[in-house]
Amino acid sequence: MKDQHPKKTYYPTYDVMSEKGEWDPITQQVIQNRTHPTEGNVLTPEMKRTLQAYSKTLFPSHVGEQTLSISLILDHRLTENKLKSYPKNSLLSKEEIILYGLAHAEEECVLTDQKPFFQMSDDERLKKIISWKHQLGEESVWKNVSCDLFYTTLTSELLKLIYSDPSVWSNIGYGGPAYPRGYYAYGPKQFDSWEAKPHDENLS
Amino acid sequence: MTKTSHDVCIIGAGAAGSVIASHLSNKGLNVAMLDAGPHRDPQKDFASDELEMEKLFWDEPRISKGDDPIDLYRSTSGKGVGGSAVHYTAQLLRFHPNDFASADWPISYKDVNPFYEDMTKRLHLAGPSSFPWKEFGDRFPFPAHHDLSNNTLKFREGLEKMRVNHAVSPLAILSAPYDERHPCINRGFCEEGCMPDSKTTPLNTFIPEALQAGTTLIPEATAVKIETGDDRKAKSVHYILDDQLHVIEASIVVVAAYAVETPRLLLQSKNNDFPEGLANSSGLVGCYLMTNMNDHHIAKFPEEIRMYRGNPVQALTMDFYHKGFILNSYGMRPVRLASLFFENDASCVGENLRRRMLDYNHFTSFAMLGEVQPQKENRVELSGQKDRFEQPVPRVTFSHHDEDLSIRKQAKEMMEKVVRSAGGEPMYHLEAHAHLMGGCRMGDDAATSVVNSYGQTHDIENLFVAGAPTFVTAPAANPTLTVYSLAQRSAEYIESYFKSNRS
Repeated sequence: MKDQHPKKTYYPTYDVMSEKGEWDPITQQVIQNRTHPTEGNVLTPEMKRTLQAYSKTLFPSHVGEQTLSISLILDHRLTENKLKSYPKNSLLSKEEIILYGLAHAEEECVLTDQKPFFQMSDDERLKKIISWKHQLGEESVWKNVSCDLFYTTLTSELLKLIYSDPSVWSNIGYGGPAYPRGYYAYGPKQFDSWEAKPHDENLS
Repeated sequence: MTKTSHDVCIIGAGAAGSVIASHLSNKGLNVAMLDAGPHRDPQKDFASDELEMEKLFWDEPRISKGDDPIDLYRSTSGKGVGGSAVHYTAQLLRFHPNDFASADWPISYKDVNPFYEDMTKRLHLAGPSSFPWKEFGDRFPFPAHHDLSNNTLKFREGLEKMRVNHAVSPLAILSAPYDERHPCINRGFCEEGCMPDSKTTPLNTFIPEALQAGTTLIPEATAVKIETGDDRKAKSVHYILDDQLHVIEASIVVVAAYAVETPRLLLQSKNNDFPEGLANSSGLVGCYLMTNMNDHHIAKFPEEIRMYRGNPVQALTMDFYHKGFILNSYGMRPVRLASLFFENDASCVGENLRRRMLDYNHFTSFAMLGEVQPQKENRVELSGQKDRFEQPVPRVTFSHHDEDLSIRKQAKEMMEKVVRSAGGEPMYHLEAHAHLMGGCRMGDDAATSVVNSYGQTHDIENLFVAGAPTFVTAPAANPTLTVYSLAQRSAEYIESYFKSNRS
């Protein structure tokens, strides 16, 4: 999937994790917990399947390259009460929106396609997600939360997880945690030795 | 349930509350201070990571409505001792004299100036030896930061070519060692809490000063009600700690809980004597809520910029202040940038997002901070929904004034010009907000304001409001230096009020 992508990384050999031993112990632990998450207790196995399929459909190459388990981390965040705030224009918390939404998504797919979301083809799943985005979900199913709010809320949370993945950091050439060393080499074309090596001009 | 007695109970341990606690405790008053979040130690509880440090944001339920609903989670308040001053970029500017002259501010720049001078020193501001716009700050005790990121250098290059004044930002970030603290190492995670503790925040200034002077700090305690007595004065504060209700009786109550929780607490404390909420005879508690526009312009350059390096805000121009905005460099880390891309453009997911983010190291990010007009209809109210403490969830309504949108447009055009002058290609304009102000505006007239210039409520003489809720306007300069400064002014007034009432 990576090779089919119209645009490749500028930093094919950079691995931000090769420097993890240089980070402060707290940050090391945070990243260790993220790359080796423990089980949460909020999402059901069915919800995790839906979530995994949703991520894979909406972020195909990201998910193909990333190392994190999206469903485990999201479950862990839900268990830790990290999603209790409300998104804009909502009377429900992010947690409620995601939990209701995952259940409704499954319900709709069984109703309309007689199979759960994760068993649908890539094309079918993408069509479903786009219909939710455009408020075109089955009205009789989406009772507790609107499908477009579910789409926006869940996608926002997935984005955060994806761009908190060290392998995606490597992919975009982001230096990751900088403590305790900080940045020393300043000025145009000056970078610290532990950052991604500067690439040749414009490899687009 | 416990019941304790103090001279003063302060609700909220952020920039405003901590200054007042420190002052009053040092003057011998017996002070208790509550905060809804934990008391964190930067070395033990912070990390160099965006996702982890979301724990600094206010995460309790808030309903955000209106034509332009505000994000009430990230950029508009903090949770924990130190408040939002723990996760901001620390660009500290004074308001312009004309800001106080406009609208209904009951004080002038001259009234605030001694406190600006004082706070410039106490917050160890680092800034240029000659700041082109002296009313906004001058004579900084620490030298300007001079390790400027490539993002900032491009910003300055663009302005230089346009012959627009620019300067290194005045920052509450150490540029040289001070006491046991080390200068900034350009780690870049200012908005995620400063783990090296180079950023000056309440956690390394006013909180330890207050604790040393005897303030009783109660973290993870949520105030749910201010009770008034038969004399119609504030009598006690009810709060929840470890799922139990507790009470602090106090001679003076100070609400320093920022712009949503402050009016919310006053409104939900309504009783028979004050059926519309405390201090609300004007009907203006919660009204005139303001924010700043804080749009970003993302541009692409042929060479690598790597905007993640260094503190996000390092240089600025205030030449456009009279037009209602300032511009500064503003580096973003990946989570923030990807989130803003999606918020501003629903098509920016999956492969579209990836295509953009692969160019991350070629992007610069410049930002505007824009003035917002005070409008009565923009307000905090109580909704019919209840939170986990069985208290009404606040509902915030916000819509922009046409003037705001005109400022936004002008700032966007100017940012694009800066980009082009520096040799870059303007790519994406990302709308966002930062800071909250108003909701308990100050004034001399009890019919058109909630508090006087010291934060004392017109209706209840021993009940005070401190911090950004008392602001009458939302100018384009970052508000936190004014929060600190007005809090010190209130603290000195509260001290004299307490002493005159005791004798």
